[in-house]
Amino acid sequence: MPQTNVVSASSAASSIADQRVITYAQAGVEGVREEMRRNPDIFYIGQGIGPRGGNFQQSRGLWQEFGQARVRDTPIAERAQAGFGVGAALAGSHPIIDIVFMDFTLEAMGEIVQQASTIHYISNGRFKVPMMVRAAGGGVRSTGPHHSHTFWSFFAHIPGLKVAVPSTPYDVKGLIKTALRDENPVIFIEHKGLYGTKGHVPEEEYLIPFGKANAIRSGEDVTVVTLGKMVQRSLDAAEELQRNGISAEVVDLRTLVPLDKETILNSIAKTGRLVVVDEAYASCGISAEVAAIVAFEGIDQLDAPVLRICTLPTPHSFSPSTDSYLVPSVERIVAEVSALMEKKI
Amino acid sequence: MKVSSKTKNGSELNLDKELVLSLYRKMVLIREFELKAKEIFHSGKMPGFIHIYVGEEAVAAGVCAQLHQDDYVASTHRGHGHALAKGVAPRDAMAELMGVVTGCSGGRGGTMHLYDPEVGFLGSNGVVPPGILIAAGAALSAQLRGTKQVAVAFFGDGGSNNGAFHEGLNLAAAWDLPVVFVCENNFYATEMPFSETTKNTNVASRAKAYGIPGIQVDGNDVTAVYEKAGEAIQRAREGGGPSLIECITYRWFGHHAGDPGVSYRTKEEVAEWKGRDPVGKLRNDSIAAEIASEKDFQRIDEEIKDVIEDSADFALASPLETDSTALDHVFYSPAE
Amino acid sequence: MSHAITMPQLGLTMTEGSVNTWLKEPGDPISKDEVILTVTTDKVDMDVESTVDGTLEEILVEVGQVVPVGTPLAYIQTAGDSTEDAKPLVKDTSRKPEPVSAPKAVAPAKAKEESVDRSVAKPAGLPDRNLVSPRARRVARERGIDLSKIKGSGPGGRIVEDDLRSAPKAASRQAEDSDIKRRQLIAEKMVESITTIPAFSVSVEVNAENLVALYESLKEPVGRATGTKLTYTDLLLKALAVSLAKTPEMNRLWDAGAIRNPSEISLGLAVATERGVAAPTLVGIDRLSLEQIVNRRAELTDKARQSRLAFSDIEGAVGTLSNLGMYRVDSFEGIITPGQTFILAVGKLQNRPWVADATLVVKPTLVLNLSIDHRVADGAVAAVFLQRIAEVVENPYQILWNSDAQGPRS
Repeated sequence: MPQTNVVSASSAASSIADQRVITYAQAGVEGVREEMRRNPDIFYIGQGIGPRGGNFQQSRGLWQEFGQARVRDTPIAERAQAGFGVGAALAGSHPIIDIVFMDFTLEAMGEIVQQASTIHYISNGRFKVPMMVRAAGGGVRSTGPHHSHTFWSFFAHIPGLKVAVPSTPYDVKGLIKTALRDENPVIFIEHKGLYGTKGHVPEEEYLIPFGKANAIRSGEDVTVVTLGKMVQRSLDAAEELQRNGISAEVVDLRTLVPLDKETILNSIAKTGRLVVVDEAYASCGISAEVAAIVAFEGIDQLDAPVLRICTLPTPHSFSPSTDSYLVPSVERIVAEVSALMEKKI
Repeated sequence: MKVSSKTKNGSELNLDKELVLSLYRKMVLIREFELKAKEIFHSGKMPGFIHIYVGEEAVAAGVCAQLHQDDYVASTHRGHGHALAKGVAPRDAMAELMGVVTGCSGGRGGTMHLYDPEVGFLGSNGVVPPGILIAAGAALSAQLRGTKQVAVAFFGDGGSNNGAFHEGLNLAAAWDLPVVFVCENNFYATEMPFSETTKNTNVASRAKAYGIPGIQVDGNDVTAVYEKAGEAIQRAREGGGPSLIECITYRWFGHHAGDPGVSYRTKEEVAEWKGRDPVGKLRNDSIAAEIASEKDFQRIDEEIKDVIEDSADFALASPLETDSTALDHVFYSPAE
Repeated sequence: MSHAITMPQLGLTMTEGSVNTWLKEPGDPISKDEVILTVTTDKVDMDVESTVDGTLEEILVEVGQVVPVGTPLAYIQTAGDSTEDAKPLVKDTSRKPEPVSAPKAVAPAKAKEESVDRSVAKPAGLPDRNLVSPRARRVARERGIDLSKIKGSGPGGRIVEDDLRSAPKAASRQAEDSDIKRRQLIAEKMVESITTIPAFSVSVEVNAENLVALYESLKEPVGRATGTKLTYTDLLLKALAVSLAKTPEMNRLWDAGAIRNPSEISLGLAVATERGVAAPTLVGIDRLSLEQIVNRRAELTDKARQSRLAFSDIEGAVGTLSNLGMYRVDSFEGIITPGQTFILAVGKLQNRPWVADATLVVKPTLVLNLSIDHRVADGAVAAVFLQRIAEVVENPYQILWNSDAQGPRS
C-alpha cells in the first residue's frame, strides 16, 4: 500500500499520530457531506451517484442522508447534466455535476466551456456560476481508450475555469471543501486509481486553498513537478534516486488553475533543474505550461534543459503490457532523471 | 366584449383593454427596437451582427406576459424580443448591441449574450440548444428551493433537432421540473428548411415521446399564445411538470441582418406571412371588437417611438469599456 | 555554418595549451588540412590544421593566451545553407556526446570534437552562446568569472553551474586587481603633484565659536529641509566658496605654462572611501545656497563611496577642501591635486587656549592650512586669501546672505 506523506502547507490541527487513516474515496465523500450540511444550496446529480453511492463509492451515503431531491441519479445525458448545472447555478444553487469518468466530460464540453466558463465575465459580473464538475480521470488496470483520459489541460486552458487534481486522501477532502465554497466553475478531477489509497485525514475541519502546491519532498539536485497518480510514482522514484546520490525535490501541483508559480520557481532557484512528470500527454499539456513559465520567469535559474516525462502519444491501449509502457513508470522516471543528472541531456 | 379568434387554437379568453394594450405595447416595443437596431447596423455603426426578430413578436410578448419578474427565461441568438418582453430595459439592450459599458452585459456580451438577473433573463445565447438546458436547470433550482418560480426556454425549429432538446426534455420531464419549452417554428434553421432535415416536422407531437403535454399554436396570434402559454406556465407552477409549445410563426428578415432571406425562401412566401402581421392583427382585431381605439394604439406607437429613439441616442453616446477593466470578472471573488 | 577549431588534446596528461602563432587572419580562405596556427604545451609545439574548407571568421584566443583543452580558438565559416546544416532543435537524448580527448593526429581529433552532439543550431558570430546554461551564465556574471576560461562538463561542452564552483579565485582576484589599480593611480597623481607643483603653505588658527553657534542653530532646520544631516564640512565649503568669490586672483589655474581662468567657481571635496580617497567636484559652488551644498555634498559622497562617480563628477575644481577634523588631527598639510591651484586642509575643531583682550581663555578653534601653487599665486595673495577664509569662518553669518552675491569675476 503506498505510503502517503501528509506533510503539506496547510494547517492541520491534530498531529499525524492522532489522525485516522481513511481512503481517498472516503475522504472525498466526507468533504462533500460536510459542505452539503453546511450549505443547503448544494445539490448533487450524476449517473449512479444516488442509492448506489457512485461507481467509485465517491458519493456513498449522501443519498441516504440528503434524500432524493438533493442527490439525484441522472440518465446517460452528460450534456443535460452540465447544462442543468449551469442553469441551476445561475438561479442561485450550487450543483455538483458528477460525470464519473473524466472522458465523458467531452459530451458536456459545450456547456462547460461555452456556458459555464464565460457567463460571469460576459455578463460583466452580474451572474455567478457556482458549479463543480466532478470526475475521475486516469488509467488503472487497462481501463482502456475511453476510460483513461487525463486531459486536465483542456480545462486549464480556458479562462474562467478552476481546475483541481488532488493526489491524496488529505488533499481530496481539503480541496473539495474549498471547491464547494468557491462560487466559480470548478473542474475537480480525482483519479480512479487513487480511490482505494489510504492516508491520514484529520477529523477536524480543514480546507486546502487553491493555488498552493505541496512541496511534498525536499531535495537539492532536481525539482520534480507532478500531479495526481504520478505524485506517488515520483516519490518512489525519488527514493531510488536518493540511493544513487541524487536528491530530488517533489512538488505536487494540487491545482492547475490557479497554479502555484511561486513554489515552483523557488524550487528551481534552489535546484536549477526542472522535470515535470504528468500522466497526460506532453503535447500542449500542463507540463508544457510549467516548462514555459519556468523558461520565462526562471530562465536564469535553469542549469539544464527542462525534462518532461509524460504518457507517450498514443490512445490508451487496453493491453496490460503496453499500458504500463506508455504511462510513466517509476523505472522510466528514475532513468530519465538520472540521465539528466549525468548531463547526458 | 369578448374577442374570439378565428385562427387555429383560437383564444376564447376575455381580453380586457389593459391586457390588449399591454400586449400591443410589448410587441411594438420589440418591433421598433428591432427595426432601429437594423437601421443602426446597416449604417455601419454597430459591431458584430444581429438576428432580427421582426415577425415573431407575438411569441415573446404572449409568453412573457404570463411570467412574473422572478421567473426565468433563457433565449437564443435571436433574443432581443425575449429580453425586452421579459423586462430588460430598452436602453440597456440597445447599449448592449452597441457593445458599450452601459449595456446590460457591460458591452461584453453583445446581441447574443444579453444578461439581466433582475428580471430573470438568463441570457440570449450564441449556441441555441443550451438555453433548453439552462432554463431547465433554473427550474431545478426553483424546485429544490421550494419556490413557485417557472422557467421558459425559447428555441427554434433548428434547436428541436439537437441532442440538448432530447436530453433536456427527457430529464426535465423525469423530474417534473417547472419549465416550459417554447419552440418558435419559423420553418428555417439558418437557411435550411426544417422540412428538408426533419422527418417529423410536427414539433409539438414530440412531446408525447417524453410524456409531457405538447401543443401547437398560431405564433402570430398573440392572444392564442398568451392563453396557451398561460396554461403551460400555470401547470408548471403548480408542480405539474414541463410542457412543449410549438408556435408557428415567421421571421420577416433573413437569418441575420445582411441576409436577404430570399435565396432559400420565396418572395411570395415572405409577403404572405407579412400579411399575417401579428402586431397588425391584434390592433385590427381589438379595434374591430371595440376593446380599444385607434387613438389608444397611436398613442402607444408614438410613445414607443420616443422610447426607442431615446435608447438609440443613449446607446450611441455611451462609452466603450476601457482596457483597465478588461480583465475583470474572469473569476468571481467575494471581494467584488 | 560555423565550425570551431578547438585547443587539441596533444598528450595524455595535457590539460591546457597556449597559442604560439596564428598563420591566418580573419577573412582568409581556408582549405581542409591547411595549417592555420601553432600551439605550445609545456612539452611540445604543434601545428593545428583546419578540418573544413571555408573562411576564417573569428579568432578568439590571442598569441600567448593559455586555455584549457577543448576551448574554441577560432571559427571557420563554411559555405552552404545554414538552415540545411542546422541540426533540429529537439534534443536527441539517445545520442551520447563524443569525448573531447583524441589521442592521435590533430586533424581527425578536431573533426570528432566538432561533430560532438550539439543538437541546437549555433548562430554564426555568437560561438559560445549555447554552451553555457542560463544559470551558469548568471552566476558567472554575478561573480565576474570569465567563461572562456571554464571547461564545461555538460553535453557538448556545455558549461553548467557546477563547473564554476572551482573558480572563486577569479572573482576575488579581479577585486584585488582593481584595488591595486586604484592605489597605483593615486600614487601617480601624488608623485606628479609633488614633483611638478611648487607648493607652499600658509596656516592660521581661527576662533570657531561663531561657527559652532551657527551650526547648532542651523542643524535642525537644515536637516528637516533637506533630509540630510548638516555637517561642518558644508559650512566650510560655503565659507571657502564665499572667500574665493571675493578673491578672484585665486580662481586661476596653471595650464601648460599659462594662467587660465575657469568660467565657474568649482571646489573639490576630499572623500575617504574603502578604495582610497576620491575628490568629487561641486561645480558653480558660489551660486549654490547652503541647502543645495548640503544636498550635493551628500549625493556626491554617496556616489564616491559606492564607486559610482562619473568623470563629470570629478573634473573642473580650482581647489579642494580636505577635512580631517573628525580625527584627532590638529593640523596637516594637503597635497594639491594636479590641475588644481590649492588645497585647504582643516583639522579638528576643539577647545583650545585662546588669547582675547590679552587674557587667556578657552575657545573652540580650528586650524586651517592652505597649500598653494606658487606659479599661480605668491605669498601675499595666498595670505590674503587665507585671511579672508579665516574672517568668514570667524563671522560665518555672512555665508547665509552671501549666497547670491557674486563678486566681480576676473
